[in-house]
Formats: sequence, C-alpha cells, structure tokens
Amino acid sequence: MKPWTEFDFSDVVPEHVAEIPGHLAQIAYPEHFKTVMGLFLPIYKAKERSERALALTYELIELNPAYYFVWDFRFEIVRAIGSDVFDYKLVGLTPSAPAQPETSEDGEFVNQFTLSKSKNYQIWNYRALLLDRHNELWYRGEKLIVSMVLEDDAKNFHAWSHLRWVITQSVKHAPQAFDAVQLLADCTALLLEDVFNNSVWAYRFFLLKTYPSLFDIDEELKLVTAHIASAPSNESAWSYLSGVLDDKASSTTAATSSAVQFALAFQDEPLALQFLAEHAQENVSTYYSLLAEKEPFAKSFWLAQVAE
Amino acid sequence: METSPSVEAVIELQSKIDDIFAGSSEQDLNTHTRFLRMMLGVDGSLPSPFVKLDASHPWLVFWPLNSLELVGSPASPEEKARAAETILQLQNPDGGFAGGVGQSSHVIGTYAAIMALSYGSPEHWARINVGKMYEWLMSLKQPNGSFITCEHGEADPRTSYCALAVATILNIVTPALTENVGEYIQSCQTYEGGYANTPLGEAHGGYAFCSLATLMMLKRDYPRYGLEKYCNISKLSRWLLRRQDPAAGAFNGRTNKLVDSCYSHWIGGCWPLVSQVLDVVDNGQLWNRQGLRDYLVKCCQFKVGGFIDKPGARPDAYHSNYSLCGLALAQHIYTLTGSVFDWTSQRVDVGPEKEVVPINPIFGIPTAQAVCMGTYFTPQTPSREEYQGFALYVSATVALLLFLAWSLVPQEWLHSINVVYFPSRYWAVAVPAFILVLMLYIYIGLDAYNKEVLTPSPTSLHTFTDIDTMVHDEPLSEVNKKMYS
Repeated sequence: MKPWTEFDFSDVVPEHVAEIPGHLAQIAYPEHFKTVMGLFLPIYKAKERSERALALTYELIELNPAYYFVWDFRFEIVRAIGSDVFDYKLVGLTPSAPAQPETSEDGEFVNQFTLSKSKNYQIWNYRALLLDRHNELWYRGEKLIVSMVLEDDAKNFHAWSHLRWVITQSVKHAPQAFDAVQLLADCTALLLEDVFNNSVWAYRFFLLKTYPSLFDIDEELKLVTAHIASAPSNESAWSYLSGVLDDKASSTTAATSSAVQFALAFQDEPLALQFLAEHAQENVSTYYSLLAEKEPFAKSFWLAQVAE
Repeated sequence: METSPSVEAVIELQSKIDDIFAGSSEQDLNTHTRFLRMMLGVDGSLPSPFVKLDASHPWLVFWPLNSLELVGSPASPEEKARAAETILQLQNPDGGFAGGVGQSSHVIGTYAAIMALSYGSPEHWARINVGKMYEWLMSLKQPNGSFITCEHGEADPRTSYCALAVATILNIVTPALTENVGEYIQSCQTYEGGYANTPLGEAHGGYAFCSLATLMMLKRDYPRYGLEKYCNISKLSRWLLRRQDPAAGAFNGRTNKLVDSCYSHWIGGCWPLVSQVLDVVDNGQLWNRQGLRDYLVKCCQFKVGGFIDKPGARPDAYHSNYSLCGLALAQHIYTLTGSVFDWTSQRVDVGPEKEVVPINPIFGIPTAQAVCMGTYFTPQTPSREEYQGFALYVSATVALLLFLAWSLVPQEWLHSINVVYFPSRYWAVAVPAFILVLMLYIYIGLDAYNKEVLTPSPTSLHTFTDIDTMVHDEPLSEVNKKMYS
C-alpha cells in the first residue's frame, strides 16, 4: 500500500483548512493535518473513488478514527475499486480467493486497526458493511478477530456486539460457519475464566435464544446454581437465572420451584431475596420487607413492592 | 556544562506539581468556570490533540456551554450568539448538521447541535432548515423502527433518541417518524431489565437512558404512553437500582463494571423518567441521591477545574457536563406535569454546595431553556377550551344586551326600528321577581325541614348516650367505616 505522499495531487486545488475567527471551540490544527484534509475535501466533494483517495483516507483515519464521513467515503471507494477482500493471514486463515497484494494490505490495515482501536464505533460498523459476501470463512475470521480483541479487553462492548451480529448473520446466510454446540461449550469455558464477566452471561443468553435447540433449562439451572454457590453476590449470575426462568418458551414451573429451593439457602444475600420475592409462591412480602431492611437506600422502593 | 537534576529532585518536583494540579477535592462549584470557558474556546483555540474530536464540533460547543449554564455562570449573550453561529455553520443542505465544516450530516452531532442552539435566540432558530431536517431524519429511518447515524452508519437506541429529541424540539414529529420506534426500543430491553444496542445484547446505561427518553417522546403531550406500553418497568427499575454501587455511591453502566461519573446522567437520568410511571412516589429515597452527590462532589472535582470520571483521571468537558447533570438530578425531585417540556422540580438537601440549575430530564438542558425553544417551534393555535370559552363569553354578552334592550328601551323606539314581535315587558320584571321569591321560599323551606323532619324528638333513642360505656347510636356509614376499613 503506497502512502498518500507517493501519489500525484498536482491537479487538486487544496481547500483552505483553518480555524474560523470568532467561532467557538475551534481547534488549532497542526500543519500536517491541514495539508491532508485540504487535499481530501475537494476529492471527497468530487466523489473521486481512486487509489489516491483511499490513501488519503488511511492518513485521516489515523489522525482521527472517529471521522465517520471518511469511513463512509472509504467504503464507497473500496466498493468501487473492488479491493474489499479481507485478509485473514493475520489470524491464521487463508482467504478463499487469492487476493491482490494491495487488497491484502488493505485487509491487514483494517485488522490491525481493529486490534489497536477496538473501542471505536466506526471500525466495527465498517467491518459489518464489508461483510456481505456470506462466506463461511469470513464469518469464522470475524470471530477470530473478536477473540483477539477480547483477549486484551474481555468486556469490550463493541467486540461482543459484533460477535453476536456475526453469528446472527451466519445463521441466516452460512449455517455451517459455526458449530452451535462448540460455541456454547466455549462460552461455558469463558464463564469459568471470569464468572463476573457480565458480557459472557449476556452472550450465553443470546446463544440460547439464537439456537433454541441448545436451550435445556435443567442444564442451565445446574450451571448457574453452581456459579452462584461459588460466588453468591454475583449479580450477573442471579440476573441470568431470572432471565432463563422467565423465558416462557423454554422454562418450566418445576425448574422455577427447584431454583427457589436453591435460593432459600442464601437469604443473607439481597440478590437472593430479590430472586425469591420475584419467583417464590409464598412469603413474597416477607422477602420484600427483608430487602427493605438490608438495603436502606432503596427502602421506599422495596416497601412499595410489598404493598402491591 | 549542564548538570541534570538528581532523581530525587525530579520526583519531589513531580509530586509538588501533582499536588497542585492533579487529584480531586471537595471545592466550590464556581472553580469550574475557568476550565469550562477554556474548553468552550472563548479566548483561544483548543490545542492540536483535539483533532481527535474534529468530527464532534457540536459536542465541543454543547458540553461546556451547557455545563456553564448548569453551574450558574452562564456564557454571555454575545458568546452564546457566537456559539449559535458556530453551530449554524455546520448545517448541511440535506438538513442535518455535520460533525465539522465540510463533513457529512450525522444524527448524533445533529442532536448536540440543536441542544447547543437552544442557547441561541429566535434569530438563530429561524435559520434552521426544519423542512429539510424532517426529510433527512426520514431518510435515516429503517423499516424496523430504528434510525441509522448517517449514510452506511450504525443504528441503536442512541440514534433513536437523538432523532426524536431533534424532531420533538423542532416540532416535526409525525406518525410516520415514530412508526415502529416503540417496538424497536422494546426489542432492545434485555433479560436483565436494562437496554442494549441490539436485541439480545448486554444491558448498558447509555442505551437505557436513550431508550427511556425515546419512549417518552413517542407522544409529546402524553409522555407516559411509551413507557406504559413498551417497557417492562418492574425489571427496568430493579436493574437501575443495582447500578448504584452501595459503597461508592456512583453508578456503573453495566453489571459488575467500574463506576464512572458520566453514568450519573445515563443511569441517574433514568430515575426521573421511570419514577413518573412507578407506583411509588419519589420522596427523595427511591435511590441514593446522597451517595451520588457525595461521589460527584468529593471524588470527581478536579482541583484546577472540571470533573473526572473517577479519581486518578483527567477532566474533560464530557464528564463535566454529565457530572453536573448528575448533581442537578441528585438535588431535585422531578415531576412531569404535562407534555415532554413541562417538568417541575423540588429541591432536596443533599449538601451545602450551590444549587445546579434543574434540567429537563429528557433533553438534558435547563428546563426553561427547552421550553423556550420548544415554544418557538410550536405554532400558537388556541386550544379547544379557549374556543369554547370565547363562544360562551360572546353569547352571554349578546344575551345580556338583548335582555337590557327588551326591558329598558321605550316600546316606541323598538317599533320605530320595526321590532314588533317580543314578549310583553311585564315578564322582564316578573321572571326575576319570581326567581327571587322562589329562593326566599327555599331558604324558609330548608329551615323548616331541618327543624321538623331531620331533628329527632327529645325522647328518641338516637339522642341517648350511655354514660358508662359511652355507647351511642351512629349512622350506618360510620359503623361500616369503623368495623371494616
């Protein structure tokens, strides 16, 4: 990939980029920025979809990853000049079709960028835009990139969101891309790594709803109660327990009553009291009164639930 | 030859510098003015690292401008006009506002732009291209009820909130704009009770606020509608309750995550919205206001001005604005009294610091400010009651004039203008006289009825009270009240 400096821009009349006198919150732009943006703006306005325009987008995205309009333009260029093939060399996969040298560098840029700026909204949206070929390999590649990001930042909201999106898409377009049983097993392993990681619990709930055949309420009950027993103050686990039991499609009354029996042993724990108040058949108002006692900051709130 | 200072000297100097500039302390809220004015760039440009925020110009103006207003040291009218000019420069021909000059329109920036423009004047508001704005918002609308941020952009409850807030203030909400919006937001509520960026996602404070506020804007004059129809209030309120760390007092944005001052607004801001539909009245003890106030005042104020997300961090305009919003939420109980613009606030004593200006919990700007701009874009058509009242007033006046003419004007004059058919004028005196006498008889009759019928005779059992047991007769309704209530 050639840097923008190696392209010829002699035919472009650069725009004057500067602070506007009298206006508020103006930024003292560095000279380098003024030059690049000055060249980019006329090309952007002329909708020139070319290699040199692409080179400018790299530079600007490096300067400010949140340039949504540059990402948008970049997507249009990539579409127009056909260099939208991802390169999964980075993550140990080979592309399905032989990629051209420039394009594989392009894919590498996107991958590297994802790893270094994983909290940026635009990069994830950009990946999703490019991912329209519905190829099994690509879906697996996306999952690998997500795993790499999660290794550094296990609660990265964007990465988890992207993973859910990739799986949802694969179910529609390439059902063979993932083995659902394996996904759930991986998720179980992640819970063992950090039982307080709420993103994993939310992901597990997503998996059960996406692959309903995996949803065995007794299995889930076994897993979540074991985790609660090891860490009774874990809000994520209690919420998940309520979540699976409240799911009308897969839950049973037998499961609820066995969970209530289980929770009776943890009555020192406000989360357990809340669970009992919501799911037990009897003594509901007692549990709310106990909650009001244990959590004086929410006294009015819990007492109001007693009255209901 | 130059000599380097010793390591000890450098460390000592560093610790002195840290002591002067860094760290948080309990301090007067006025100490933030200088920092906020610097962030607003009143006297000079922001330094070059702010290029990273070059696509967020509306926010760069909005955050410090709003913060200054909340903290009670507002920008001058001249500075507000400068702010409005800065924002109007970002308006694109398609109707939306850009993140910076030359950039395309973006709905999140457009929200910040409109909120910042609320500090302008009608002269600036007249320059907003409202018609084009509507078309542009509609172009972002997706069949599932969500909005995308810009062309090829992402969609989530943030964008729904920004789109509807803009449309509500500019009064361009139509059934077409809100179609499926409630259903979409509903689909983002998770098993935990909070809201995620997509269906089946992980509940998050930012999306929770945006979702709730969006639901409240579905019907401008009946804000509770969206919450009642599309939200599981019980699950949501319990999730909200658990976002407040009992020890720190601050809110986190997701389960088992660290607290951050910006969630003072994203989670704290959910409370005034949700408490409008809860069965329990917010008496100041619904959530821990004191805890939030203590965290913000004691832990988040940077010594040289500005608020930080948590101790050890650096201040910025974003956290300053949402910390101050958090204080405005902790210091007041908010009650909805009408449309999305009509809120009253009642002061709660949480600490000795000055009162932060109460905000409109839906828009995050001072209540009066939202009313002012909202009113400008609302055509002043009289209500049905006003029409009825006026008609009644006119007909009553006409009836009185006719009566006076009939009873007082000499008969010859009426005949001379060819008015010959009217009742005998005897009735003009007789009817009022009959009414007066009837009233007199009613008074006499009532008096007689009380004495002769309602008063029991002195020998009646109803008048006895047993002096030992104090038992006496009571009407059946009183008996029922005492026995069964």
